[in-house]
Amino acid sequence: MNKGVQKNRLSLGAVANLAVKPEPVSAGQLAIDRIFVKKQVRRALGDLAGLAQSIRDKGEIHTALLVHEEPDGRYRLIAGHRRLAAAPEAGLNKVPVKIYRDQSELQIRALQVSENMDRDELSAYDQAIGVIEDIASYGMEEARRIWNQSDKKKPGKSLQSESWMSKRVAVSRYAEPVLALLMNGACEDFEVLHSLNQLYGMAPREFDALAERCGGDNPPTRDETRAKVASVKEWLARQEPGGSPAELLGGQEAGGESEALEVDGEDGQAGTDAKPRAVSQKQKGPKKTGAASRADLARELANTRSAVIGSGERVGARFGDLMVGMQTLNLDLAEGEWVLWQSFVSTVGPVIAQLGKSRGRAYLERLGKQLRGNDSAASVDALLKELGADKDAPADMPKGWTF
Amino acid sequence: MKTIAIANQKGGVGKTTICRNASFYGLDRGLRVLAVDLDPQRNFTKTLMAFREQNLGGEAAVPPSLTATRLFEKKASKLGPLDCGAGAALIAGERELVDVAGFGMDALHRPAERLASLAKSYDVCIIDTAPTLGKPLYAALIAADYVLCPCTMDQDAIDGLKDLLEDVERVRQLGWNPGLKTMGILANRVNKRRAFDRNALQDMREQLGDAVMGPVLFDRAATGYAKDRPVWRVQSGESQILAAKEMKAVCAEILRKANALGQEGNRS
Repeated sequence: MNKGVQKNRLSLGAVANLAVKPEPVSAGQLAIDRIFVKKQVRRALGDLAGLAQSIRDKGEIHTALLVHEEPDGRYRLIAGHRRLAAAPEAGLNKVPVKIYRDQSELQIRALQVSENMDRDELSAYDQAIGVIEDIASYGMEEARRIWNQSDKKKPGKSLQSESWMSKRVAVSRYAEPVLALLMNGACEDFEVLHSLNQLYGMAPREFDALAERCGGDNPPTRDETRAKVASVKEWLARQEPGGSPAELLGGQEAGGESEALEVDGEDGQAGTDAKPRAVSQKQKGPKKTGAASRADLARELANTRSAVIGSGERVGARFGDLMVGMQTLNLDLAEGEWVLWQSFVSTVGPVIAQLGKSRGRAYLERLGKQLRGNDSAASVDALLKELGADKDAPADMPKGWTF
Repeated sequence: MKTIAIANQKGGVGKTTICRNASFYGLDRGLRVLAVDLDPQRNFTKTLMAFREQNLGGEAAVPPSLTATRLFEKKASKLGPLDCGAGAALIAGERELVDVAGFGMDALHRPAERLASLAKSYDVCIIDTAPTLGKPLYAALIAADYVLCPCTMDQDAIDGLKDLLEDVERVRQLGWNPGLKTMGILANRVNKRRAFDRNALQDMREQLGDAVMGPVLFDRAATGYAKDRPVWRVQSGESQILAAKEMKAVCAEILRKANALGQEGNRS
């Protein structure tokens, strides 16, 4: 009896619940042609040439393959697909095996999974596919048993956790581009993938930006993707109830305003010929996706934006007047600062009120960052150009721009 | 000393009967037998005490001796097992065994150590267990070289078997007794005339193959008589003759599998 072994502090109840691994009946060398492969957990075998070379170098396969003795005398491979496939190339016609007998399909599956998991042979994608198939074949509870991993902190554990399982089940709902990331190994973090999947559904361009970074030097983190999903959701939610952007622009009908913005006719519209028009167009039905109405909506949006840009310029001009006026009044330092500060807050305040606190803060922070880098302020125009707010700034979004 | 634990987590499957008969068979073959009773019900103990009376006389005093609960205590007892005469000795079961449940997990390993220290004095050790998952059962699995599972042909017994076989695996896989071997499953009280029994036995052999022992014990009235002697010494009758033959075959197989035979003549 082995007395040197750690004498567990587990309770007897916990011991009695430990999962029991089946034992091989025998071990030895088996001719390759007596082993057949029924079904694989892995999709692809990867680089066999490298494995074959390593077997050649060692002169043998070091770890035994697991096989199951079938009633008809053949041997079914349980685990070791790569080694089996590489063996002929390595010049072997026999492989070392551990032979199991009288195991049910479920037990064979459990052996297969636990062997592959122990050897880290399953990619995240393989795990997900395996889990999904096993739930379909055996039901959730047995699948949790199959995919159980021992945990030093929880010695009595016999079932895989529900959250571990559900992260992998979620893969069956992934959009194609998200699945592609997983299959290629570009992203193997299920939480990030889940966020990316949500993003794909809501804001494909945001998704593209983050997806591109996967697998590179600066992959998106969980926090980052989650935050992005939250901000997109917030943006969408802030639209009118019933909420798509199309509705917002087109849906203001009877009883609503007839104009989107007040127009200060004095100064006219800088930089554009279009006049702001009544936004209320009689849209039939909430979501028209025809090409024609899209063009209408785009025009409306452009008009509204021009109006906003125009009013921004007017406010700037007013501010300029203010500062000139202050100089003539000869205010002292504090009073002067007070006036400017108050005026600034009153100007920016309403905008922030519309944007909301978190976006407002994000915008101000970014603005602050951009200004900080530019202490050697040349002219105002140069600064404006820097901020992309000058008169000549293109109205259309630069390709691939994200905040 | 070869140590055989007799176990099944279902009661009434014939553990104690096998313990008794296997012990007597061993004695008949000239082996020195140590009987260990880990069941608070003490049926195995009663048989050995009756045997002792026969050998040493009804008046023989019972000196203090090493009893089952002492096997689990931290401080090793200086006492030895109770001599029952004719080559048999007994570590008696007692009611206090129920207190072992409250001992720490270290206690599981002590009986194995204590029995190991007695190994030179005996050829075979037979451990009777209670039909419960508990510390004494695990201690028996840790102490034993072999575990034999008597099993009647009913669903509860067969289910108890599954639990026991898993416990055997756990003891092995935890490294507590990696050398523990399942001697086999002994089909007991099989009613030849009942289809259920015949089918159950057949299924068992198909599923478990070699794990089911060849010799089988059929349901014979004689086996239940006279708890103080082996079946082959019970009052003769047709049932008894068949029962005796079957039982001897089973006991021989048990001792053969334990490699305990071939040590006859160790007794002076």
